[in-house]
Amino acid sequence: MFDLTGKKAFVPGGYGGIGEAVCRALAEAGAAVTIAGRSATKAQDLARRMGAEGHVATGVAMDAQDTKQIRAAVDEAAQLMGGVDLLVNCIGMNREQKIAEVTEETFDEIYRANLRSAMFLGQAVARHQVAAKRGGKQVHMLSVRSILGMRGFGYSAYCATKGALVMLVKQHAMELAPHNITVNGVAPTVVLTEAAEKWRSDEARWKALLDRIPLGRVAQARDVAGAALFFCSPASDFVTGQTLYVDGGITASQ
Amino acid sequence: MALTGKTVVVTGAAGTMGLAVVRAMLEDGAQVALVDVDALRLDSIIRFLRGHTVAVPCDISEPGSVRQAHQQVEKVLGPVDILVNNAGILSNEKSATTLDDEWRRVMGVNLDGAFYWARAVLPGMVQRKWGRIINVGSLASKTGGLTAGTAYSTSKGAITALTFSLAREAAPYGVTVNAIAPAYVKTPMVMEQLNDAQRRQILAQIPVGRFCEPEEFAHAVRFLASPLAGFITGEVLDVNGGLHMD
Repeated sequence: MFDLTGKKAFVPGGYGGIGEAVCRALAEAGAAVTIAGRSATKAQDLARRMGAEGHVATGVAMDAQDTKQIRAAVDEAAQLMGGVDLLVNCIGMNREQKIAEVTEETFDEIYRANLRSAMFLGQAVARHQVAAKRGGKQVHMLSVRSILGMRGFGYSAYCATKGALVMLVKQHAMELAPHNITVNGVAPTVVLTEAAEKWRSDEARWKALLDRIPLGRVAQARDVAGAALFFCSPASDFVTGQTLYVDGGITASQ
Repeated sequence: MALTGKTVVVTGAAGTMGLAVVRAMLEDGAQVALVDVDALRLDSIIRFLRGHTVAVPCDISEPGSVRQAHQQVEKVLGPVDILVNNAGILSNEKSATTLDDEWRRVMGVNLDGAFYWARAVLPGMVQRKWGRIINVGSLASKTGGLTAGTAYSTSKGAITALTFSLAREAAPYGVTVNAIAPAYVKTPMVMEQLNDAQRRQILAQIPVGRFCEPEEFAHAVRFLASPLAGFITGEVLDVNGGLHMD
């Protein structure tokens, strides 16, 4: 039910904390994986390590800020693997700026990283999936900030773009459903990765965060990878346009 | 499968057309040596291929490099039964702007490389009384190049002559030698050099109204490599959507 043997996956942001867990989960389920990210070296390093563990993986360079590069990377992945069946978009960024400090440059940068790249990744992968007529799966990383505002911090761009992804997922799901391509979102709370270290370094903030999570801990990367694997596998064939909150119960409690 | 047990060499295997040929040959049951100058890309590609393959980095414009690569192929996969001389580079420079180096570079890859590989594998094919050599020419050899330049068109014209010459030499020994003359295959090399206006203009001239898919090019290679094409030799097969009819 969760077998991905013979499937070809494209994972942008694949060498980040969440991305690596996703890549490994997909590979362990039998998929071949192309890891994409701004650093070709990091992407290829992870591919090499996975290769040494018996998985099939390669890395390509892609700056998500640049739509041309997105298209080129997807085409390259399709060429290398002989198609793209699965997209798991693990790209996401944030720069905290309170409402009075928000600059156009930063807002646009976060918009391009979180929302525009998802649009054009979905489009580029869909072109290959539709042409191949084998259906497909697309998964985007959202956040509990897709439906919850953030108290006390500068999160305008992050919350707005992650919120918009909920609708982008729904609309892509509508337009791709006739091609048997499902589109879903995985929305975690803070995930224990290097990128989350800034949360832990502020003890008060960390305690406040944990206090609000009913399961009493933040997410592990593998919690997120499990949800992504579900949306990539035949187990979710009849699920599309959905956002699954992987949040230890936060959204259920608020 | 039509090519079970056969050993195939595909040059330019890391490119779009070469990779399409590699996949087609593997589907038909052959074992395939992927020859390309880009070792890094070969390394990436080979990980995703199922079947018996070997990656052979090689600058085919260098006779020594070809000799070495040929030995490597034979050591790993055995004698070569089918050679697909697919590697090619494009130059759009017309005569006045074609520099010495450009001329040599294009001739080196497009013509010399095909000759060096054919010279390396033909004796074995003749000895074993079976072989296929498939060269990749171009529509440019017939038209003088619509957008392609002097060195490219000339190199592809020479490929036609090489095909005829080898076909005559090899025919008595069960070895066929043919060429394919494609036009405007959807590869980065071909598509990225055209602007939107040129693309529209060319499309308007192609009777089938679209560019050639790499897989369609590979189908032609597949046919010429197969037992179905045993009586065809010294032929240049147009794969051009009707762009040129002769």
